[in-house]
Amino acid sequence: MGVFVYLPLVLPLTALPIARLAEQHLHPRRAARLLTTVAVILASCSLLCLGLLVVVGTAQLPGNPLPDGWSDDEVREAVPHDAFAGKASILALVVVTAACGFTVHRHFRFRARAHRVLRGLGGDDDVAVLPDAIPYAYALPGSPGRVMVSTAMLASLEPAEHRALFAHERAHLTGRHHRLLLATRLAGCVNPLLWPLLGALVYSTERWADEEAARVTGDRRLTARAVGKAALVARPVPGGAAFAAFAAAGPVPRRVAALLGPVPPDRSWPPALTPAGAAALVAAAGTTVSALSALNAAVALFLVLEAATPL
Amino acid sequence: MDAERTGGERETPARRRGQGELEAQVLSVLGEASEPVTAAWVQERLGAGLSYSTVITILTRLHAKQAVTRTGRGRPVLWEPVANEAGLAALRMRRLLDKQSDRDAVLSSFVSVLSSHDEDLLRSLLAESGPDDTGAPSDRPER
Repeated sequence: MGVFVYLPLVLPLTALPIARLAEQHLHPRRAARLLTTVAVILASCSLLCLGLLVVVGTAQLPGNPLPDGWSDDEVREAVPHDAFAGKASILALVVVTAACGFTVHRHFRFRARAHRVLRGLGGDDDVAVLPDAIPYAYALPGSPGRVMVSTAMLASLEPAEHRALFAHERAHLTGRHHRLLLATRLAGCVNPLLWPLLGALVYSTERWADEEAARVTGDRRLTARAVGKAALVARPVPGGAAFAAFAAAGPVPRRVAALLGPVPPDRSWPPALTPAGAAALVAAAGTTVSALSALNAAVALFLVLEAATPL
Repeated sequence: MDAERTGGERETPARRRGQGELEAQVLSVLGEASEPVTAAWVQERLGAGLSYSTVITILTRLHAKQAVTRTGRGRPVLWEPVANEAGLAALRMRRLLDKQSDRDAVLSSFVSVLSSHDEDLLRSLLAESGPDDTGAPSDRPER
């Protein structure tokens, strides 16, 4: 299996260009699905290879409960630098498992608590209005999902803009965006090189919901105004503007500008002769190589173990 | 149910608690009272080693949020929760939302916070989008 077992651990780097450029030339729905697919495949390959390294690593543990053949020299030779990599991978797998477990636990605990609070509010409408002086609006996933919005947020928007706000939040729920986000978050836990994809996906799902809201209300300008006004009434972060003059435009102005522009084209792949097209190609190639390497390493280790173990 | 939970948390006073958590605790203590009570009474019932001035601060903050009312003329000032299920739910929700890392792991916020640069940019975008930013739907062609 040689070097192939290490390739999937670094190939997530090939997904970074598309994470940066996905918002160009792609409909946000397509971008969100592409990013999630790439993240999940690359993370699965990383995890598989980490697992293979752990198998080799356990062969070096003194007094391991595995068959004698597993600690055979032949198994060790199958991986370069096996002594260090084997032990490090055991530690890495423990960390990855804990991080994933914590992420899933936190996700469902928060959802359960929030739904419990909303039940106390009474009413089983899909919109829960909370009397609060701080403006906020969130989509709370669940079965059924709820849209929760504070009275301060409602007060700062016109009735027509409320429709855009609710359409936006409902789009998060019907599109099950939380699943894409959770999957990509877990991918980031498996391989930290995939973290930038989460930020890109968060932006894509917001844009996706914006486009849905614009479709439902039939007015892109109205939706843009709802997003813009909501952002302006939300409290600014103290001290958050230190380098603001040099910073690129944040997510909200980019969303508003996109809504004020034309409907994004619904193509499944960015045009080849653009940076985004090239980035998508690099990511696709990286994902393919990653899958083939992981498969190659798995088969190689299986053959070595089969030869070494009298089963 | 919530009273049990706050009761459990009272056992670990050393743990630094967030503002939202303290507010919810004070509010649940006030909810137990059958009549308007003094801040000293609240402090005693909280029993979490909180100073009198901290309790006053929390009560004042709750008052600003219109979750409690001040009654009683002169001294002592008496405090009473706004008898309102929805207000209580809103405070509990705020307590959940205040834990930013948990919140961001689950919820998609309608808008994220703006830098001052973003704010200027946004204002100019909105100004471009129509003659007034609260006005009727414009029929100008999309650019």
